[in-house]
Amino acid sequence: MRPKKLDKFLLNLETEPTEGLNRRIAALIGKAAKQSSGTVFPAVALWRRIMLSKMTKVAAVIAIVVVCILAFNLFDRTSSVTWAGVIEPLLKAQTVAFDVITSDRGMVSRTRYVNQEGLVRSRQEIDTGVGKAINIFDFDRSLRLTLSPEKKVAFFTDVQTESPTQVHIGPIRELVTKIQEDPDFTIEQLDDQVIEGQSAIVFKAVADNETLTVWADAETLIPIRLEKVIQGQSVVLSNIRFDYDVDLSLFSMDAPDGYSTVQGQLDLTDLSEKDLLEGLRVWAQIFGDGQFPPMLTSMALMMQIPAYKQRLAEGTLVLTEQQKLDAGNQITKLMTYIGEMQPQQDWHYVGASILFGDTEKPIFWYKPIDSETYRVIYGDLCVKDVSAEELPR
Amino acid sequence: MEDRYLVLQCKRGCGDALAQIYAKYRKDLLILATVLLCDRAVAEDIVHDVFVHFAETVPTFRLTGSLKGFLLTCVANRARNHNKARRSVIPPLTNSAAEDKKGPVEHLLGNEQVQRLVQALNQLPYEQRETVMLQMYGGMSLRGIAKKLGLSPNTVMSRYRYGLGKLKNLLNGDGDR
Repeated sequence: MRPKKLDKFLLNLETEPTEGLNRRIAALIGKAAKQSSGTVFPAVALWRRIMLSKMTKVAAVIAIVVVCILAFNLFDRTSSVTWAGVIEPLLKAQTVAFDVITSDRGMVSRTRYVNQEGLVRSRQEIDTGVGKAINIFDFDRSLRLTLSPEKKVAFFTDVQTESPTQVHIGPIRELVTKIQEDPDFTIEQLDDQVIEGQSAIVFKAVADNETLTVWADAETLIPIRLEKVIQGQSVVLSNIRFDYDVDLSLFSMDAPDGYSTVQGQLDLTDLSEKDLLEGLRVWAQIFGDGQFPPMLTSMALMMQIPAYKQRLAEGTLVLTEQQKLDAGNQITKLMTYIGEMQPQQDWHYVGASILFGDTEKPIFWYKPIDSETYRVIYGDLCVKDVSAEELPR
Repeated sequence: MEDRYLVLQCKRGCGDALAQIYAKYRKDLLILATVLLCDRAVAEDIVHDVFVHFAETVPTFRLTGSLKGFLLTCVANRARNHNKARRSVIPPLTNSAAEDKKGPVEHLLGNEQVQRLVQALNQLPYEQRETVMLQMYGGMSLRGIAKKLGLSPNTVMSRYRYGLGKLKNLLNGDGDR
């Protein structure tokens, strides 16, 4: 019997866990969830979920169809199946290419994502207005390569992170998955539109404060445009191509010939308030020319890049390549720390235009987990513990 | 991508995500543990222990490859430790023994050929059985197995080659009767 046949037979093995094992695991999950959030997940309910759950990726798509048909009688069967058909390439495509347009001043970046031949990588090309930057990320090795073609510098960053890197298609897929799992989600089919010369059917899915609008080719049902809006921030993916013939050399993690290299480490595990404070300092002093930014978002940072590069060119700001990499990584740590905060931590940023060193004005506050008081950070990065009643207005 | 999302949700304390990971991979882990240990009860204990450890360490867990591969490796490591602690050679299941012993083979469902394969696997030395299962069932490369088990690639390749050879002989010998 040949190895490939043995392989096939092995994969036909089937078994069922005993009820005892399922109950033990359900108890474990209930205990772990309670320790994490203070919420008790009844072990019995979880046991039923384990027994009934078949949430593989394919099953998730099928579940969408069932939920749409049973729970949303607003839609006829055709609409329900069409939504599932429209989102399927989003979830399954191994290669995706798209242009990204963000709501702030129409900044455009071009992103490609590949998952084939053992490579799981993304490539993002951004035109900052004063130069081009290319980010290539190797998901398996958690290694980021940033290329500055004008300066011929290749920055290698070893990213230690508990979370997948945001590369737009990842959050889109997460949002679709979240929409699928949220029992309160709504899907609405809008009037057909013409997009980029193509007739498109349009679906809008809403869950909490997040909205995903999908324009799909009316004949092929393949998405041609996506818009994700989260808390007022809009990201549009256009010029979308799925499972296209990709040039794998574009995802090479080797520095191009003639480039100098800079190595860095970005440890995004075990972040703390210390990283928040250092990130705020770097942002104000290096990128903000002594002033805190209008928002703590990547787009707000991008808006400051032209002035930052001008100061470097004029010599009013002097940084080595290593310091530039470290500064960027510190901002990433800050945004990751904020991004990982739980809703109950109730963070607020109010530092727009406040000068670094201002001892009177607060710029940020949040509530640590399991704390009764808030931590308020001032312009000089001093931190005070205050009650909710004492928070700045 | 789905596994990365589930791990992320686990880190955020989402019990449902852990439940989904268990639902998704429980059979694979149980099959591996059962074939390796030839003891269903111990196999279930091993799978439970793997999930206990995963739940406890998920806050600092970093998924660098396949979640399935990681969990299968955890099962294999614990099964190996259990096997060493037991310090006994698992008696090979001859045909007559297999008929009398209502053990792990019975729990692994499949057609007659699959059942013969499992019985043949049970007759391999533990290390060869482990390597063959991780490669064929777990889909891991031999180099990947060597790295995970802390062995030289040559050792793993030898175990795989000899295990496969013995397996084929056992199955062909079965077929000739």
